[in-house]
Amino acid sequence: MSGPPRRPGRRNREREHRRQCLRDALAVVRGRSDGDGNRERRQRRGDRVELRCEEEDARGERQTPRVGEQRWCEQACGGTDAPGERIRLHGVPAADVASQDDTAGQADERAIGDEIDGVERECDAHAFGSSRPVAHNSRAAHSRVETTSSGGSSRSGVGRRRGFESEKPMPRGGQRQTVAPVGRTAADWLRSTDGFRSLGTPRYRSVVEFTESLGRELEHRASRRRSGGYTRLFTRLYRVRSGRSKSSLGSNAPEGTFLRREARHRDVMASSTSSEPTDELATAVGQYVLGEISLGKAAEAAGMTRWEFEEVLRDAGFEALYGPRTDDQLDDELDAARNLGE
Amino acid sequence: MAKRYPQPVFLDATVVSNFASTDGIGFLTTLLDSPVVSPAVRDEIERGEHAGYEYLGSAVEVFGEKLPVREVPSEADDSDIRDRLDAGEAESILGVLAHGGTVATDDLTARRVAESRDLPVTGSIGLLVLGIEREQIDSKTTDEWLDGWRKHRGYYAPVESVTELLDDEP
Repeated sequence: MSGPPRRPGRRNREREHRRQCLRDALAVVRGRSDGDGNRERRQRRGDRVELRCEEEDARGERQTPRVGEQRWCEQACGGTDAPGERIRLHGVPAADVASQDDTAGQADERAIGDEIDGVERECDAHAFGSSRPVAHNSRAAHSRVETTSSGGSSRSGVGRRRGFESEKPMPRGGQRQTVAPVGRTAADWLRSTDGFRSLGTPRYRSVVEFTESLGRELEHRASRRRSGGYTRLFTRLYRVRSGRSKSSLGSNAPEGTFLRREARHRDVMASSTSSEPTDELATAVGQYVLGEISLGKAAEAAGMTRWEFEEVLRDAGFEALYGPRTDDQLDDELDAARNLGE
Repeated sequence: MAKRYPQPVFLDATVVSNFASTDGIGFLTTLLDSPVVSPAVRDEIERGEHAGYEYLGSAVEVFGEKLPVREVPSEADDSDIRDRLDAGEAESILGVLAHGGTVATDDLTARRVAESRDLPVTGSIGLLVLGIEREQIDSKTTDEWLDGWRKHRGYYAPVESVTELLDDEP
């Protein structure tokens, strides 16, 4: 049976991607150039070197995994295959890292590389913004680790960003594939880097603001054990996605231009709905997105058919509603299908 | 423990809807030895067709003969399933619990509920791969369907082409 030309194996690409992430992380620890002429400053306290993920969550919190302490470094790899996956960097004594020459470094690289096979990368997102991965920009993806002292007061300057304020918005149709690592709650994921991106809008600042509010609201709801709160969240999301809270940017732009088309699209979105989402709908969307209930159950709760509810979700920017999220889920699905033939 | 048999395959509305959207219900019913749906899935698909999603009509036409409807006994202890899943998804899982077999769903929550009960779960792309390996469909068609599901059904899979999943890939 003939088919399209085979691409390099998916697993090989992923493995190489993970290895590259680890090589870059090690290079940062060793104080090597990141390829842009910048050089990370390695800072040491005692015999310990800390790695910090460069990207902050909405509240400015950072992960502080430590090489040599068997903690994990969540490196937002941002690559084609598995952004946001966990990569364990363990079993590398910092003193060895500091003193090693290139040969020893290569050995350590291999040692760490062997850990890749145990990487935890099961993902947990129920719905996210885009299923279309973008071409992997290895430099952008791998320059996000910085070294710091344990006190966290000193940081290297390589590509440091505060939140996403300095990051260019991703274009429509070029959004990242987004996943949520296992072990984190959906709220964590929504607050995370990829949670931001999953909303898939070029209006980055608005999305950041929205997601910050979402995080606060979720915490508030959890602390008060409130079941409500979804309405405000979804309403805000709906506004962000539809641009209804925005001024009529582009409405006076020349006919045929992108801005004009965008403005017209917003007008259509605004006119197609006469009111804000109802409590029931907002709650259903919130529960579905957070993985509390299935899409069908959410549709029931909203008083819609499944297919109508799918349209609501797509209008709100959620494009990937069904299907296996991770390689493990995909493998299980294939195994079960193949067992049908036995 | 008695060996579990993979048949019948309880299809939920996500899988039926996917294949209906690409005119693939015929493929589905010939691929599987014993495809079944629960009464709630049948009812849901029929409601969808009545609501204007006409492509579901190809599924409605085969309910009963080519796609039998299997009654599902109500379990006393099924509230945890029904609290999170709709009637069709819940009955598909309860059906496998009662009759054995495999759940076919593309819903992540339904998958998790099934897996928490150690039930085998497959989905649309798994069935596509099975179809290729049984030479009942070619890879060009499966990629077209996959692309259609992505565009129109909100489907996601971490591969771009079904061919990446075939065992004979070098």
